[in-house]
Amino acid sequence: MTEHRGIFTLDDVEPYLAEEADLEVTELGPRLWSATDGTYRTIFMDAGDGVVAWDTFQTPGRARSYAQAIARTIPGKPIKWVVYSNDHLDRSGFAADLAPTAARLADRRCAEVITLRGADGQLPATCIVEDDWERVDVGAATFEFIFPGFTSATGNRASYFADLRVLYMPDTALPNAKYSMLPNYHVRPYSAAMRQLLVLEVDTFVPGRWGIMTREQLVDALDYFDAVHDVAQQAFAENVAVWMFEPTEAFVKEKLRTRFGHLEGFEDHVGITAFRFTHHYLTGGWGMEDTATPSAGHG
Amino acid sequence: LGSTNDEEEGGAVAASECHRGIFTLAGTIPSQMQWRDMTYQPVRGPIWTVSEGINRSVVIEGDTGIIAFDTFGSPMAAIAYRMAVQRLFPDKPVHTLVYSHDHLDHTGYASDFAPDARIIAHELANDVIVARQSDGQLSATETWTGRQQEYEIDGVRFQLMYPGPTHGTGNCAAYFPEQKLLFWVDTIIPGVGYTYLPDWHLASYLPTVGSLLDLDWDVFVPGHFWLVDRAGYRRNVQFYEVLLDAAQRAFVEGVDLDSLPQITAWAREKLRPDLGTLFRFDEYIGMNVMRCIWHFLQGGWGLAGNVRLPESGAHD
Repeated sequence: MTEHRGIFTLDDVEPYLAEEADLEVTELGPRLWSATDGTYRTIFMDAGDGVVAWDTFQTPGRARSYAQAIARTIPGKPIKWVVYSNDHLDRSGFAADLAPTAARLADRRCAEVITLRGADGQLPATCIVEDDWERVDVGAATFEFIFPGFTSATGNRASYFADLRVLYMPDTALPNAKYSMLPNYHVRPYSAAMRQLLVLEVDTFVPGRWGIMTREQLVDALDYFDAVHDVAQQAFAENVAVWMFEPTEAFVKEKLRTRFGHLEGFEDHVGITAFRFTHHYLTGGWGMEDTATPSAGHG
Repeated sequence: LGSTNDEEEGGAVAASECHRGIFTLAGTIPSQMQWRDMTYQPVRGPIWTVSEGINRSVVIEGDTGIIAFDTFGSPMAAIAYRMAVQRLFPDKPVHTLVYSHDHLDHTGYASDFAPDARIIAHELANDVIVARQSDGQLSATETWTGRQQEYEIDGVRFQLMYPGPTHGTGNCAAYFPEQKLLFWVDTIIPGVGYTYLPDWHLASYLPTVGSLLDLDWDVFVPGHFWLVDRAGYRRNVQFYEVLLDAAQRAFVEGVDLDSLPQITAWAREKLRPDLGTLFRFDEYIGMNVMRCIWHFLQGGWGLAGNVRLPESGAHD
């Protein structure tokens, strides 16, 4: 296989890894843009003598597409910095294809997992961010790099542009109901951590997938997360068989369809999202990150 | 804006009729109070197994008392477990409780099962248990570290083994060499995997479970459903090999990786010829594949999900 393979072991996946796409770019404000392939989304910024790219997209092909979109938008300036929002391969897995010589910035917890994983194409961080709230100045770009608490993935951070009232944080809130099985979400601390971000002056929230959101949509998304959580807990408490998907799905759809049925993806996703919550109560949470005192694990 | 979301100690739990685990709902929790009938049967020598039909554990008769593993998954199940053990051994108290791992559905209710027992757990599991602050789940009175620890308690010899991350945190197998018996919870389970493989650590799973085939045993007691022999254990390992390959193929076969209905339809069609007779195939194969898709999409989850072990060799 010629492509970086992440952690795939089968050569058959090369067409998936190689496929490129024409990314859509949206201006968020002076020197700041968002790029999407229709599913995944990220941001990049003109930093004067170079570009800051957040994340890498989910495959080598998409990482190359991202580099091309940046070059079209900010011609003649190299990607000098890559900011890793979290450790996931579909977020930060392919700096080797995006900008292999760029400096790479990451939370300390995120950097630790990336080093341990050793995935093909995911380059280790070169600048480790220790403090949970750190102002970052790279070239002419300035932003706040914020770890609000445990939300999803490892060391997942928000990037806040106070002057533009823009907040980017992938793998947390979505403009729809497509949360699937809440992959690697830390259920217990999630909501409190995310709601801390609402103290920021934000008009625009850029999620890691799907469309750009308003502040109101961010609040609605957090309300949806909490509502599914509460109803799933209720289902388990009321003896809906926790190991059976269909009764759980039926219970939550009945309780939530009136309020949230308009959300795209509700019918396909709310059942498996609720199933994730019921098993949170069955098992007690997964690992140190999903306890009452998650910082006991990572310090 | 703070940077941590540690909860105030005891803040989430209100008083109620029974231990609440981590439920935050006010009032009675009916599922915590649901009675569970237990069955029990001898396995080998002093080792018995107890089950309510889904969860399973083992108890061992010592010279003066009982060594029990785990607590079952609710206060009433723990009480039913205690009563089953008392019925079997009316003159012998449970003096020792061993935790297989941290999850509440297996070790959540020592307060109801044997609140005064000596409790043994791997340090990794106990760290999570302490941090969780779950109502009814007691922390260990003694912990062990590393990969293996030998015990001789009340005339019973066994080894606790932590071969690497598999499921949950600090999940240990119990090996009884004299009885050639291995007990391990939430790893090898007859049939396809449970739902979406909750808290499974897939990067290290196969070499880790494979490594325990190097031990000399011929009966395996799982944490769910029925006992298997070495061939049954190997079949389950092979199931995961097929599953992980199938999940990778989904990426290039046009499956909508976000859609559980689409993944389920695809998985049932592609895997039915080889796996269709397995227990719970139609129920869970789609979720099993979806979980593995996320593994390859995102990488393993957290530090435990990214431990890499050398592939184990051929067994038997």
